[in-house]
Amino acid sequence: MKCHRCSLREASVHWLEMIGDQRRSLWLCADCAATREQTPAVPAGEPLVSFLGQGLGGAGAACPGCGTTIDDLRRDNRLGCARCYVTFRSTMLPLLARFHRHISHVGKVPGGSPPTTRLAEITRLRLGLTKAVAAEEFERAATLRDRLRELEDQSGPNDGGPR
Amino acid sequence: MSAMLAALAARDAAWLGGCGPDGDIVLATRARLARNLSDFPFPHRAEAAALATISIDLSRRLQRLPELAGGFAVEIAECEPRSRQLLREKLLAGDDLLANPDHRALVAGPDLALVALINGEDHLRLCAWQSGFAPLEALAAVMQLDDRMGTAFEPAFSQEQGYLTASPGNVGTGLRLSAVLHLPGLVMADEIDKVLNALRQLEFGVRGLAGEGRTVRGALFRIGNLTTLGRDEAEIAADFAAHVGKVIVHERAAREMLLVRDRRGLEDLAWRGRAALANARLMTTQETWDCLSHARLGAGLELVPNPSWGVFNRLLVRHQGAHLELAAGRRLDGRERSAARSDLLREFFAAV
Repeated sequence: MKCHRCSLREASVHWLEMIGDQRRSLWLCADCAATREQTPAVPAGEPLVSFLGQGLGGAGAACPGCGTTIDDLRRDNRLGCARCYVTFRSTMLPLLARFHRHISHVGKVPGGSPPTTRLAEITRLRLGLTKAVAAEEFERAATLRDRLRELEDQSGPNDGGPR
Repeated sequence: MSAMLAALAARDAAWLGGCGPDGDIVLATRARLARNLSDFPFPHRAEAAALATISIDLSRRLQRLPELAGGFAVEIAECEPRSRQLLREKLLAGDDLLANPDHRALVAGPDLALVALINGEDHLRLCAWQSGFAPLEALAAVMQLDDRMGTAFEPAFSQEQGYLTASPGNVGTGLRLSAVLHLPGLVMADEIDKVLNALRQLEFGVRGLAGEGRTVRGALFRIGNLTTLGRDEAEIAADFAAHVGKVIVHERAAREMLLVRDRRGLEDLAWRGRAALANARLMTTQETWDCLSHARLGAGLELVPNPSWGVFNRLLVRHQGAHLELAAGRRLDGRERSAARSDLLREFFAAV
């Protein structure tokens, strides 16, 4: 096969590039591959970045916590402080819904309170279950599975109580 | 270079040892939690004085944890460019930590399995690495570290959105699981696009080895979950284990298929890769990524001798520029690097 770039020399290197979400596969000769190596890849944006830009409406108030404005959000693709989540709540919720397909948190809450312990227990049980199944220890797997179901039924989707 | 930095630079991470599950295909798995302090703006908006306070306080508390005892604490501002590049090559830190070095810090345990990054994109990022494919173990380790740090500060947290992060892409659990996979079978069978697209549909991100937007080299891919809100940590981990587990199965199937289709071709590729690693006197980076990939594939199919997965993993880190310069103790130009690289590779491959 001839090199995809110079079409002269025999290709010896399989070159794979990721530019954003696009993947490009090329067969190159050693010389073209060496040149190519100098060229930095285009940095891929966080997927959220593009939709942060799209979703943000016109100018509004600055965040009282850190002074971040909508324009700053658009430029930095980041929020400035915890308070921003309140300041820009109405703008953020649809974006979160689109990106994460959820808008409310499920999982660990600060303080190492019972939910954390429960979570650690669930993790431990799932781990045990995977290992038991792999080792074909089905009786043990069944016990673990029942215990896991019990634990998972104990809590609704929002298992963090007030802090 | 400080004594501590020199010690860190010389250390091979334990999780490069290649002894974990599916270690022929998966180099390592990482679980990462993003956390912020409620009383301060996120790092990119915070004043230098605030960043300094946070950095000093978190670094001190982290170093007191038994899990990190006897480990490393590095101020990024004290690292010259080569040391920063070393941290990047070791996969310990990325641009968010290294690009603005002031008041940024890294604290790691002695085997580099637990790593805390201070004032990168978020005030604190806790990472747990595991050898091979071990997402649940990595999750358990990072959760434990988080519990340990839990009482040390008031985290930015809301009942509605969970742990609040600078990027809304990390909000909620702040959990990102990722694994570094070697997928030459899927690349050569031209099935990689199909697999990567399926992963994207399932909301996984795929990148090259070094992280965001890097060119894919040596058929090494880093796969991680993208969504962090609305599912608890265990569910995210179980989902990751299931889907990335399937990629491993597909990779094995692709390798078997290639072996049936063109055994001689694969043998040739693997032996040529091995021959270059064991004999060449000048090796460029790209050539090395490719040869290591081909020889590793061949070793996985038992077509060529296997020096051990750990050797492959460690060489993937150590053949890079900053590591070569560190070993040589001086700056190297392009040709000197190629020479040093080939010497390093021969050391491991000539005897096998």
